[in-house]
Amino acid sequence: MSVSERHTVADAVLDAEFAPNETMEVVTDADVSVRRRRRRPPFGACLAGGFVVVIVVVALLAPWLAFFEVNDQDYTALLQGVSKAHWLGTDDLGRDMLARLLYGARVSLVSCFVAVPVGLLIGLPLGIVAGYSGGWIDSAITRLLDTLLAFPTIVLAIAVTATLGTGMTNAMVAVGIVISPSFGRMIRAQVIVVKDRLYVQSAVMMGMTRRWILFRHILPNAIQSTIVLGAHMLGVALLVEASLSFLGLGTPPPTPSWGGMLRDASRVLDGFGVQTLGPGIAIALTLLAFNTLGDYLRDLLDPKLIVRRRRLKRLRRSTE
Amino acid sequence: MFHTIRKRLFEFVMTMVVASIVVFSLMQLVPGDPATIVAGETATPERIEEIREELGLNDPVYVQYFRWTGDVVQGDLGRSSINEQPVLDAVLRTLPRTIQVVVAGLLIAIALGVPLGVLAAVKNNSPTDGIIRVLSTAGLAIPSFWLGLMLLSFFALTLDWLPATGFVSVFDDPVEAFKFTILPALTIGFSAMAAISRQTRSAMIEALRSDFVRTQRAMGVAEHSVVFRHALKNASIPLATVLGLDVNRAIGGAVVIESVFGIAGLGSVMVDATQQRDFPVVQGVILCVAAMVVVTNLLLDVTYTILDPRMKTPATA
Repeated sequence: MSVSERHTVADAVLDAEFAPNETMEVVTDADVSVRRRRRRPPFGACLAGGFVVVIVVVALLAPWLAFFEVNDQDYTALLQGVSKAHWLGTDDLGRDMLARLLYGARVSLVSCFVAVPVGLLIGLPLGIVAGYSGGWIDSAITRLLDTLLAFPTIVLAIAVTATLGTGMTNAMVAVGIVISPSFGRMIRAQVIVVKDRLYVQSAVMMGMTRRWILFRHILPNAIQSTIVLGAHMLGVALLVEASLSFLGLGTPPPTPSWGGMLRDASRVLDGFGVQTLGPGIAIALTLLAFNTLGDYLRDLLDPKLIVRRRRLKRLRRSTE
Repeated sequence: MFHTIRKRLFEFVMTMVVASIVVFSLMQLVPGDPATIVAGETATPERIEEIREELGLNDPVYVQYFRWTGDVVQGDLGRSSINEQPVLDAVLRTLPRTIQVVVAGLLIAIALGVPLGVLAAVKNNSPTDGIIRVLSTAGLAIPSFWLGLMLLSFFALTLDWLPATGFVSVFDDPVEAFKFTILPALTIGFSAMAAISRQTRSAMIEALRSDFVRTQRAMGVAEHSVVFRHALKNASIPLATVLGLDVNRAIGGAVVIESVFGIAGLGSVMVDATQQRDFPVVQGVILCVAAMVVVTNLLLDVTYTILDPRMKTPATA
């Protein structure tokens, strides 16, 4: 239980250091403006957020944005370059690349936004049970989660795909299973910290039911960093889904997915390497956006940075 | 020190046991009867029952598990259900190729990532730092298989400098092996480099801020000596611990990259077996990959236990 003790001590120090500051806070106009300036997220995070919004809108409006049907094959226009009709050219079956890219956003986003909740659904209960009960149950679950984390993500994803069979839904579930240990570890660590807090102990002393304590006191206070991890895991899910589709184990053709488009492009690499640019850039930018958002959210909650920000705030207040 | 190593060894065995249970259960969850898959669609019920008996599928699950692990420990990973070849042969044939690519990739990553990280830490918050940060952010965001496709298309197909697909072992012909391995290694190395340079940067910044560095500077020790002989040495211990993660990621990367460069390594075997629903092979390869990751981590742990002078005294806590 050394981990929990260490966390509690750290928490106690944090609480002791900042409690008086919070209670004595006198809000002045200058304060409000400082806070507003501080609260505005950095430029990169805004850009990343904007990009994710654009991608979501594009995915939703794909049927109205694309000029061509996604699977229409035009054998008179195979592997064309950029043209007025086909803005991003056509692939080896004469299908419009732009249309496929827009529809591909649907598959990629849906798989991220399905896989992460699946991961949470599996990881959270395991982590909560482990953190709350402790003892051999904790050891057993932690050992299992650690072992799952020892597998490279894509290898475990292929293994689960082998079990469930290939296909889009199975790939999403596979990705969810693969990312669930990270959620489990995170929530377990947080539950252990929160479990020893005074308000939980007093709730126990007041004879509240275990379920009430778990859902009303522990979970709401422990879940924050797991949600933040979810933002990071969106990126992991995107990458693993794209890898599976690239290997031909994810979204089956002819449904367009970014990973699948790269697979198609790899067949005609000799002379038509540009075909890889569209889906490649789409994956890279979306991944970058998810990572940036994840980093920003993590920094918001990082105790070390919070300490630094609060010190900065106090410093500003004393100089003003 | 021996206490720590013994503890690590115990953890290694435990992890492998749990991994074997995970792999075994995964294959138990496969829908459909393995005997039917082996016998084919047209087999009579009697024939299927015969095969069930032959494969021991009528025994309780735990008996099957112990029989399977017993075989695995003795080096028998079963036979492919497609071509009846021993799985171990396929693994041993392809494993060296995967290892060659992964090791080459990691060497590139360390050779580039550590100096870049040190440079970024020394020139903290300068334009150099910014450029390195952009590079490492790109390395983490660019999917390795796309990078591989682009390198392949540019260096092998457009410029025709290097062979596009295939593999030569470094023990057969080092020069040819270099030509065949450099592109996949660069592909794996780029993302690993990004991770390593980030980790080096933060470990170095921490080390450069510490008291002993300040003291050395005050004593007038030459800056390069402070950075490389003292700060980097201290930063390398947290680095060694995260290197295990990079190895894990590089092996995962290799699995995908192999299909880009047409290398018949472990990854290709696994992908083919998954497509053909050849479960004994999938099972064997996953277990092998897990063993590879866990063994490398064990070796890293033991190495840094030996290297770290603080570990020499037995832990009292």
